Amino acid sequence: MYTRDPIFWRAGAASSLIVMVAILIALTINTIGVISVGGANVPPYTVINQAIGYVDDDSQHEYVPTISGSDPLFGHVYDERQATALIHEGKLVIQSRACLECHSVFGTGAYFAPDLTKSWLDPVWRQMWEPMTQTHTRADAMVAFLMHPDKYPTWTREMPNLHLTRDEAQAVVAYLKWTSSINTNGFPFGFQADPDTPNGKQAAVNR
Amino acid sequence: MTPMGFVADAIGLGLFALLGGAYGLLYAVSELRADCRFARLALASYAAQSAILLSVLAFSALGPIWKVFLLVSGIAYYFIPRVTLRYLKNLHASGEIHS
Amino acid sequence: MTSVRSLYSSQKLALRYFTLSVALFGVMIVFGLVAATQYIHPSFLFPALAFNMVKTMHVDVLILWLLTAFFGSLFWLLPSEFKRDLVGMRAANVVFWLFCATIAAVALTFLFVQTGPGTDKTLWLINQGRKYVEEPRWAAVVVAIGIAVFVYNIIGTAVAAKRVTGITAVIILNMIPLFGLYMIAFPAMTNMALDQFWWWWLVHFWVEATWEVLIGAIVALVLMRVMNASRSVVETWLYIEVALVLATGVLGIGHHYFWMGAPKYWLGIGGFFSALEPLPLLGMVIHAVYDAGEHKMKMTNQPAFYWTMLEAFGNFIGAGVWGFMITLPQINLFAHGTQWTASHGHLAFWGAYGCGVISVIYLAVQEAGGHEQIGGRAWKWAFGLLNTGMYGMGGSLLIAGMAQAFYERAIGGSTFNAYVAAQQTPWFLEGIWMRWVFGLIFTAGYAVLAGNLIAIARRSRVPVAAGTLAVEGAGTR
Ligand code: HEM
Ligand code: HEM
Ligand SMILES: [Fe+2]
Repeated sequence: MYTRDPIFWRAGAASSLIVMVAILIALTINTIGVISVGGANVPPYTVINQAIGYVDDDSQHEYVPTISGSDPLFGHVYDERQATALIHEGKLVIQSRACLECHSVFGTGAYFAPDLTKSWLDPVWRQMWEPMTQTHTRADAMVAFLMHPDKYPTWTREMPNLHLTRDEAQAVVAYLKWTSSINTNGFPFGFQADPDTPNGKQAAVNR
Repeated sequence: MTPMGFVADAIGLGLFALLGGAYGLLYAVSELRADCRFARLALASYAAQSAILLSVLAFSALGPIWKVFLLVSGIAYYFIPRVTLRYLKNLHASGEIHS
Repeated sequence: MTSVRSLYSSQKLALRYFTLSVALFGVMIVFGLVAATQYIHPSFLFPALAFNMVKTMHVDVLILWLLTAFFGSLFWLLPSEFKRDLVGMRAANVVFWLFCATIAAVALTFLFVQTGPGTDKTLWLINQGRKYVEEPRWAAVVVAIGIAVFVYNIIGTAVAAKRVTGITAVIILNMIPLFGLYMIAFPAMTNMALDQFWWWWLVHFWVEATWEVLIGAIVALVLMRVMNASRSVVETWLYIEVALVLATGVLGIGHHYFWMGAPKYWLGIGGFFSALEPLPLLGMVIHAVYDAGEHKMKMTNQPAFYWTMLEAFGNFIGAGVWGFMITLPQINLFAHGTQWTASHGHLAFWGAYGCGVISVIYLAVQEAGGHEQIGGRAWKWAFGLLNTGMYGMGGSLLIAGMAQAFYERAIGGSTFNAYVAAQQTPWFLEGIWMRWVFGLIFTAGYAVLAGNLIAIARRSRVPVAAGTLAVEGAGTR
């Protein structure tokens, strides 16, 4: 019978591979468009000049990032070239310091320390680290912490001092601000963000 | 999906697959040893798997399409060991002749 | 075939690779234990050796011990398929020593240099910081060359022998994507979404496609060897396996594209196809039972037999059951990136690959030493301790992972505070403690396993260089 014939199954293996890979390639082309910088789900790097949030969108039943008004990072407005260079450096720092061997981004990495996908929007910066580092903005608190995590221990697990320069720390902060603006289909669920507020409103709303 | 609901679903799905495996294993053993005690255990595993499946279908917040999918795979689990084993027996019988 | 006289030169190299692999397995366990200890006592070795470098060593060496064991397995098994020695053995031997030197250099770099400034140079010389392929680029180049030479050894031999069996055809065709995917170890894309998109091709298509096919082919060769199974049967079965693994596993990659910026259709596609992945694994369990029932009277190598059987069950449980639990998007939203993932990763790697390569190593030490029979008690202790340890760790991490998914991801909203709170819940802490205890049991099992393998190698009828498994005095062809 043909089902006992190896040739039949060899043809089956080859054709299932061809069909599946063909579908995969088609989906890959489409996906690359969506996840390239400036694609539907991944904002351009200049998004770091804007106010970012993360809200429960009732119409979609999931959490989605919001991008509104201007909110310059470290008081600068980065043009496209500068923003790209900064974010590029941030990625190199993240790789060279093996950050994702303790943390994760988009839930991928290690589990010894918190996920960083929306870390930029974490209320803990304002609640804990701004007072601790005696800074007045989230971005500055992050830089201070990243440069000297050993000075600001928070619980039993400490982050090692990875000797980031100020430039490197700023690049990482920019990187994390950018990742927080990416649409990740509702992950992490239920994250209560501490949203950026467009410049003018800052004082009134937050302080 | 509620927090408790998702843990319950995950446990349900884990048991579903595990019991499906147990059924397949026991069924194959019962056939090869021609031992009806194993056959009874195999059926009991499949019954347990079906019970788990029914409770997932009844209580889970998974959408209807996923539930249909689970139902179909629950039925497939019943036949896979039978078809595979019969096929393997035939294959070996013909293989012995040819080689 | 079991006589020492007929040892091919590729088989001598295989024994070296197995020695290296078993040693690396031990190194990996040491770093696993250190990492597990740091979960309980974060000050352990801190900050001299922080968790990030420990984990780097653990998972990088994981890939290496399995890869070197795959090399060894094919070097051991293929000559009898081709009915001749493999070609290019001189280059292959150079690659072996190059690997040893590279691994040592990278380990020293990871332990003592650790990290560097955020420049390309760091990625070339020190650390790439990408999970499973952390080795600096220069070392990745060496690995790529090594895999390329290996592909040449196999394809070149097929050409020289003018003989391609079904199994060798599968192995050859499979080596091409296996090598090609490794190229993903090099880039450092700025865009994390794109970076992860391609990185998953490497990780998922290695473990759920190319490695799965490779271990299927290796098991097929082992079955023909230890059970005298007929070629046409084994080959037919291998084709079926490949067809089903690829039919489900290729688009199954979608289960990694739920939350990294990719479009929503991956939730349906990834969930659907990956949820089918357990079914071929169930077929392999049935096959294992069938073979056990049909052929067990001819058993001359109990350990190889039992480890092969366990490979089928372990693959189904670790990949099939544990993967299925978290593969539907509604559940993965919470379980994603927790100890639950680690629980699945451990059981799946162990079941599918760890058990498989251990069985080939037992086969090789038997054939190399010309032993009629391999048995005794030690291997049973190793088997029992290793598996108690691994399934105990898997169960402990499952409990810790469920607690983490529940408290941090589902209730707490995954903030810093939610993370810290979940790590301190009793369920989580108990799970993490139990993992450590079972880790010790696993380590004890490893010690017995290594001791047993060395003892068998020493007992061989030919002189063996002290402290190695390599058979030096055997006749060559
Ligand atoms: C004594 C034995 C072992 C111990 C104590 C151990 C411990 C650990 C620890 C602590 C981690 C880090 C998880 C994290 O990021 O928080 C880890 C990761 C990992 N280990 Fe092990 N391990 C052991 C053996 C093994 C074995 C034998 C395998 C495979 C055959 C393995 C495969 C892995 C994998 C794949 C990961 C990465 C998982 C992930 O990040 O999702 N481990 N292990
Ligand atoms: C031998 C086969 C397999 C191996 C070795 C394996 C190993 C792994 C590892 C190591 C990870 C963690 C990846 C990381 O983040 O570093 C992972 C993730 C995952 N695996 Fe598997 N796996 C296998 C088969 C399967 C199968 C058959 C399924 C589905 C039924 C599955 C479902 C998943 C899912 C859903 C994740 C993502 C977990 C998360 O969201 O964090 N795996 N696998
Ligand atoms: Fe996967």
